[in-house]
Amino acid sequence: MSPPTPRVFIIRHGETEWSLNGRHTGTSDIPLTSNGVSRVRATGRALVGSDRLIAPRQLAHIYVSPRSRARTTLGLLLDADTEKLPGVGDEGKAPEGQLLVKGTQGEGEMLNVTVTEQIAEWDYGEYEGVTSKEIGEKREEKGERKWDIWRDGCPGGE
Amino acid sequence: MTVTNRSPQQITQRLDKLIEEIRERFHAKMMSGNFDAKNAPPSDVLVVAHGHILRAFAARWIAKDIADNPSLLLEAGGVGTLRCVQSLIQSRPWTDVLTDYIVMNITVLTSRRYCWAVLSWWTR
Repeated sequence: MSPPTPRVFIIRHGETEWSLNGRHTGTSDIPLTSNGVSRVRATGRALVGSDRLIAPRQLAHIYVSPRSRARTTLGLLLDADTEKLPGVGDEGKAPEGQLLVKGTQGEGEMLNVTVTEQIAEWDYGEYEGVTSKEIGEKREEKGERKWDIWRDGCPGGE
Repeated sequence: MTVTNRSPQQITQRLDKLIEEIRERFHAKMMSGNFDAKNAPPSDVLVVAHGHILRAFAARWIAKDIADNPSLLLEAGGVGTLRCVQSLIQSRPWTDVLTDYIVMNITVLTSRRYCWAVLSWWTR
């Protein structure tokens, strides 16, 4: 029988106040709402387990953004304590740590985690905390074309 | 780690580096044909991050320009699966990759049920 196909699971952090009201959240460290917490926890119960989509034993590695909303989401999904994960390390090296995942059948898995800015959100620059509607109005005032982040990126604040 | 982060080019560069690391460290050995189901090491990778960056990550996973902006939304708490059926280690035109290899699953949790939508990327 052939080995399982390698996969990457991409998971967006749970609901925050800004994800609800449409404010672009890049470098700001906004926490999850209580609804966000309970939904992510429910997702973890549904999808994580030895007999589910995400089997901790099959996880070779975890990458997580340094923002607390991502780290909290990771902890809730895997039912693991992310408090002791290293913060972002010195320049040039993303810190690696380990996470103990409490299994549903009591089996604990130690998983390797990299906390890295490589997967942090876009730095929205001047658009940090601003809704798409407000961005549209700002750009119109300046006579700029409609914003397409994939094409235009984000204007700096410096 | 100071990572610059405002332009599509900067985003593309740092994601490509991460994707290369994932493939080299965790996926390449699975493509070698040396393992079977019994002795295969773990090969799944979990990435927990943010909406825009993960959409860009998915685009770069299949060597697509992020400016082509897939209209694929990952909602808060949403889960997607990217996989390779065959080796992507050699660089190949993205059209070949798309045709042969990539399936994207989006899982949406709705109350106690979840539904699967299988999407083929960019089938235009």
